[in-house]
Amino acid sequence: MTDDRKDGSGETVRILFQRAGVKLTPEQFEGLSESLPHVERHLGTIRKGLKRFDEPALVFRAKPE
Amino acid sequence: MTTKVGLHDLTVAEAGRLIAARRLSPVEYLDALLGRIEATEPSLHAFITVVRDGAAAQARDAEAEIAAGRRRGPLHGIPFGLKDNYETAGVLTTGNSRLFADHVPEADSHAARRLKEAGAILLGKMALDELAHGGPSADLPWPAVCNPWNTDCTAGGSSSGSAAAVAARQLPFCLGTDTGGSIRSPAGLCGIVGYKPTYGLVGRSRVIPNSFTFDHCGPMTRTVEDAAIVLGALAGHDPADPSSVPTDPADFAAGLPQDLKDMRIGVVRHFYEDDLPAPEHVRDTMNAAVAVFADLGAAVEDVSLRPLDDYAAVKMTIQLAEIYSVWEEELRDRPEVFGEVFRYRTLSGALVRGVDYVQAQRQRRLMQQEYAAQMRNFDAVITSGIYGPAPRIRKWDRKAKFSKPSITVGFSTLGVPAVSLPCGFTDDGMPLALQVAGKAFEDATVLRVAHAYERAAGWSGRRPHLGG
Repeated sequence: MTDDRKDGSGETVRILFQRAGVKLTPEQFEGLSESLPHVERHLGTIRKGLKRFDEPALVFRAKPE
Repeated sequence: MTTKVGLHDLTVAEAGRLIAARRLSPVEYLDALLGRIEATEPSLHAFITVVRDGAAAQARDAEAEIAAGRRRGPLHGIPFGLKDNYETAGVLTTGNSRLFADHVPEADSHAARRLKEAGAILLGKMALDELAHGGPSADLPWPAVCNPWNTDCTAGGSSSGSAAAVAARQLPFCLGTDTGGSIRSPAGLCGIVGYKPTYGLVGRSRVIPNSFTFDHCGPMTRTVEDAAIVLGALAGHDPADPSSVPTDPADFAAGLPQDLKDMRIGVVRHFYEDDLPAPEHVRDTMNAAVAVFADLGAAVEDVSLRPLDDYAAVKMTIQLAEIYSVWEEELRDRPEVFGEVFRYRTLSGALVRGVDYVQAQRQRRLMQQEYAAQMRNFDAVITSGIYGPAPRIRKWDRKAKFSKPSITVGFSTLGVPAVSLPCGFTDDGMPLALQVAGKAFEDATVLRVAHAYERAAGWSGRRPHLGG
């Protein structure tokens, strides 16, 4: 995670969107950059208290044919 | 009718009893609701489609069937509305999105089919935020919904049309969808009952998806009894929905009249006092509500769950990834087809990594386990609903979605049953709301607790002064 991803306005973010194939006008990009710092803040907290054997809530189940 | 209220004021239960007794004709009832819609809709914008002709034919069929002694149950002959993300065979289903502006599905959603089988009459496809996620926004195909208690104010979202229509007596009940609070929040701001069932209790096939592991379908009504009646018709296995859990048919209304003397109720005070500090009038209203539960004989004590921020982080990470996966092609190649608010709320999903998604799902299971352990000591928990009064439509803040958690998000992340119901009014007459939540698949207990409060507190009888 880089600082400019945290503030949502920098070149790293632009590159990440390009890699994801998202085609944004400068105006659309500017609007989006307001939300990214909040998203980054949330992403930074989701690992709290996890242990190695903790399974996800979403699990694959095999079904008999 | 022996009372002075109009037919449009009848609850589902009242109308059902009158129809069963052959004192109310489904055709007459439908006409009364169409008149109410005509009188009030220009100031509300609650509907995307009024299914006038189809409803008239269904009402005539219902009348004939009931007259022939073939009444199907409490919803037979009762008109209703579906949020316009529920697919309906032969009826426009738009999601309030340019992507679906002309979309007429070939088949019904599971929920629409179940209600039709119960004899209910589809009268409306209801307005919503774009694809149940982006709005209100001036650049959408259909206008923002106004709040019946003050038409300068928002009806909330995303099930905005459903909430406004039920509050305004245009329809006795509607279905909404709730991903992070989209049934409970508009219900709270419009002064009605909004019920989010346990995840997996009500099938979601052929409902336009928002977030697969968070989406819930549920009823929006004027009373808890009505929510229980509608839930009884909806609950059951949906083979086309992988999250659907096979359950036996249940009469959720049967247990409502019981008192609360054997109940243990936890007050999640930190949600509205610390995590998302509520204004003083909301805290005062919550204190009064807690006192009502104690007066009803329940054992009431405070309980601590995770902070709202924890639930919000997990929900946001998972939902962003899931909703982006649904609309990836359009968001990547032609983002301009979406409204500004939808784009703002979804595009950052492109940057959520696979490992972030899995860690959030791992954290979510941990939260479920912690909640289940806490709930060994309680039958239900209560906390504030969305904070009223509803904001003015022009002052709505699109950034709020990310910058602070919603009061509804915890029970969304946990997948447990939760209901919002009226618990007071501001000095300006705008509704305030309470949430009751419970244990997974103990929906009947949540409804019982909410019903006891509703009867004791007496808020559900108030009506907005709209169109007479």
